[in-house]
Amino acid sequence: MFSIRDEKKKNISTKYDFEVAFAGNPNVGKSTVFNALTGLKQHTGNWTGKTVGNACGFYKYCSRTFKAVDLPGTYSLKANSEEEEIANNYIMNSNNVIVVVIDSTNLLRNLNLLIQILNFTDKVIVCLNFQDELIKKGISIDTDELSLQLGVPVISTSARSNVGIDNLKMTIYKLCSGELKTYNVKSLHIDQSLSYELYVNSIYEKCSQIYDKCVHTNVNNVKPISKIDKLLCSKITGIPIMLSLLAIVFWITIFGANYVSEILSGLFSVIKQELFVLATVVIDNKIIVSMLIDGVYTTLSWVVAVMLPPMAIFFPIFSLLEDSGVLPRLAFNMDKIFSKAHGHGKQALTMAMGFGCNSCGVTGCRIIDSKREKNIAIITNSFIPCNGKLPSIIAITTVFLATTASIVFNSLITALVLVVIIAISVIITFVVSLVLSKTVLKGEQSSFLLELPPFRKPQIFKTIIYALKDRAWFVLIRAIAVAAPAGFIIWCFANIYINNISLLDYCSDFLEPFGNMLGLDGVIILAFILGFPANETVIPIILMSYMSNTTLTEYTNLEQLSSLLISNNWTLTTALCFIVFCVFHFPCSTTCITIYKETKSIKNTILSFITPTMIGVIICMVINLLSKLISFS
Amino acid sequence: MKTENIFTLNKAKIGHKYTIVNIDKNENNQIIRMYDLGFIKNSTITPLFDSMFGGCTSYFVKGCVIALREKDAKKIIVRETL
Repeated sequence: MFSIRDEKKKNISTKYDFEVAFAGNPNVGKSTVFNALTGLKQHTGNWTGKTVGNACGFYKYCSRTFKAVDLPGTYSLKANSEEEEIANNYIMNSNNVIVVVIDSTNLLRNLNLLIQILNFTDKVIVCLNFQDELIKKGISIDTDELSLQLGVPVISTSARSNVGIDNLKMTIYKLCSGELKTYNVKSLHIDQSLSYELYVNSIYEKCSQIYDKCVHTNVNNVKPISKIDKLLCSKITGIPIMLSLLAIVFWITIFGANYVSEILSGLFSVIKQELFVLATVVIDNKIIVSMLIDGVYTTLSWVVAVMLPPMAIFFPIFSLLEDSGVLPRLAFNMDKIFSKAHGHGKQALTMAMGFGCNSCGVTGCRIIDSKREKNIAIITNSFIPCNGKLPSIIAITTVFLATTASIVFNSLITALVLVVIIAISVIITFVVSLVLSKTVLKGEQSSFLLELPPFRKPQIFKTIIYALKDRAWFVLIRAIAVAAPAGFIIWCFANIYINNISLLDYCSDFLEPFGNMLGLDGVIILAFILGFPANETVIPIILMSYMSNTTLTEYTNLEQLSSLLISNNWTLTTALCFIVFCVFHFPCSTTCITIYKETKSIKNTILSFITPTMIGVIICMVINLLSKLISFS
Repeated sequence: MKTENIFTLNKAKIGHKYTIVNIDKNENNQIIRMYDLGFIKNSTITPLFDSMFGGCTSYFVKGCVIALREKDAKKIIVRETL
């Protein structure tokens, strides 16, 4: 759904003989067909996931090269959103063959877009996908009759099983080369000057006529509701299911990921020793070696070790839920709560994505059509603590709050604290959404039109592999583009001395008064500032500073962490304020850049930067004040 | 003239079939999308199930399941199909 790689840039220099585009409604398996032809590893979403611009791929058939363009899913040619405008512009302005992918089990509604396209071009091939589901649903389609009615070739496929793909390739080739001719069916042409309502009405009349001639259903009453729908959407069964789902996903991501992170950390440590030896041999300068190994490599490996495991676990699970059709039901269920805050049900999903990674959550906001509600979702996305912040929160909670003698009890306390933190984040998200919608982002509340596609078993293996590849690539890019330079900067702060005082100490002394106001200290504030590129580095920077080390410092066990923090005047108040500020402070640099890319507005980016920070500062000041009052009384 | 029993979609009963008689003619973006999804005069529509906390209902229209908020359902006028 949200492929990080920019396919367009990669393929622009390849020469090709013919260009063919793939159009269709959302949820018809268009991207699956596209992938089956091109072998491109573009993620396919069963739900209304938006393709970025036009994804391109290439394939060969009969020694000719074909360029395939995957257009975003659209319901019609009348542009309602940016993505539909892209698809519509392409269809109306190009002279290429268009393959219209259709969900065979839903022919009637899909014919709307097809007939609209046929009003503009007759270089069309109809691809009836999900052919394998027809038998189960008791539907049969007379493809010859359909072809006759439409004047264009009709190919049946079941893209996820690779059935019909060769036939499709052959037909595309024949139409492109001129071997096959289509004919213009005059009766399908509608007067373009009609009002849109009459236009669509006329089209649907034609759709019904064609449907009645070509489709035969054995079953009298089509059952659109499945048992799963009843389970998910009723209060009695739905709430426990959703809560359990949430709990399982959280638990696996937090504890499963933690385990893998520790293994990765160990591995990277070993590599570090080897690299240090190598670097010392190759580079004759101790300072540069230290800068590269202690600075750049240490930060890079720390960020990857903390960030990769949770992303590798969380996003594949999320993709599976998306592909199976569960996610739209969640948005449907949550809409009432969100619309009260002038938001959108789909915001529940973008918040969930934000838990995995704030930057991915922001990109995910593309699924919200209305600009105003999209912006609200983007600005409030960083209120949900992401996987980069969780280890810090968990560590401090364990050291200062979960201090009973029983391990089980401690785990429960930690879990409870996390639940409370997330609950507070969610509540604040609602409050801020409401405030934003009444002040800075005023406007009409838009309509909520959500298609609930049929439940489909996802291609489990493929989905997991694609999601893993996508996220691994994202982490790698971030590690190189963000963590490495950050490592260099952090190293500089720790190793550059002015008058015998390191830059780190200099700045943290300067920030001390401000830190104290927030119940923290200058070191912590500086750590958050230096941690702007990567939240994962905040605690290592704090430790590095307290121990006057020249490199990012890990803690080997919690006792060590505890004694170090306490000897630097950390109290329960400090811990609470740290946790609050960790959740509510400016989003990381990757997220900020993504926000700017998605909103193209400096105002919204600044708003996203300031809002959580202000909330964090205010809450910390209040906690600090209260604790001082309590200690005086 | 017979007085037909017509009312807004949000008052429609789950599982019953209705025919759309008219739609609030504000040709903004959302109405256009609604037409494309099949919410159009003479279409058959069946409410299927409500969302967990209310405020939203999913409808069977043109062979697909589409969810609408109550305030949008109020824009659609229907009569029961017998």
